[in-house]
Amino acid sequence: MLTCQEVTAKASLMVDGELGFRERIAVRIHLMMCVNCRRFARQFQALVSSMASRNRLAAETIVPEFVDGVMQSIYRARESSSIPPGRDGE
Amino acid sequence: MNKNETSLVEGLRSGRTKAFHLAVTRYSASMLATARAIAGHANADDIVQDVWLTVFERIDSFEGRSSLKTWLQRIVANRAISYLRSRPPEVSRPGVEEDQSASDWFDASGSWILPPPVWHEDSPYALLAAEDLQDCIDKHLLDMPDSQRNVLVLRDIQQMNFAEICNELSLSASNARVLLHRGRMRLMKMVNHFEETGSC
Ligand SMILES: [Zn+2]
Repeated sequence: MLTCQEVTAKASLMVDGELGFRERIAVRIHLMMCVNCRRFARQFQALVSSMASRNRLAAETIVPEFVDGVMQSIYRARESSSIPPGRDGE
Repeated sequence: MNKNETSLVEGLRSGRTKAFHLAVTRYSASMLATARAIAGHANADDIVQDVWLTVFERIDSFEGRSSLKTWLQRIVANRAISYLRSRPPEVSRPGVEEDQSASDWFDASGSWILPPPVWHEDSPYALLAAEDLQDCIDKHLLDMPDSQRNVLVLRDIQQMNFAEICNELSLSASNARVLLHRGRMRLMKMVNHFEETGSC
């Protein structure tokens, strides 16, 4: 029987899907019986998932000004580099 | 690499403006997220802009062994990390290694001493919508030791797989897992504190 401390120590392996079969069953049984670990596991999962969504959220809010700024600096670099003109043809 | 990406890379290699515009539009957001998480909001734009110039100059060194996105993320992570190292000492904030074992939560038999605090928000969406909380997470990310933060950012924010992360950061798999779990536990404690006190 796992202790609550052991269950929290396995929380990362749990959310990353890295627990072996027996461990996964042992954790699941503990969670069925333990309201505290159930709450912890739910919060832990929510926190980890929210971190992933930060990136997706950011992906929706890229500003055109930023893209323009980068393109301007690329144009400047191109002008001062040895790259011959006329490579822009499609 | 998929076909779509192969033709994009070809466009970049031959220096086509269109290809650069497409790549900058498509990949900058996740690059900015990485740079912000590692080096802070104020410096992220400069870092990513700088990375694009490097890409423009050195696209030939992209060998296509990973996806273009992964390759870009690596350069951003490297650049952000070396930016942090280059800061003058009075500005730099060395990470504080705290006890992340959470052993203070449990009694000698390994049971909770107090139940974990109930969070006001415990869905990912609600957590994201809580702006003060997200600011607090930013702050704690910056306070982490670099090794912890880098694993956490690459894994949980950038969703890179473990093999790539270990390769990128020169870590063993077990070491990376320990750092990742510590980082996550640190954020758990931070959110607990935030939920209990309403402050970061
Ligand atoms: Zn328990």
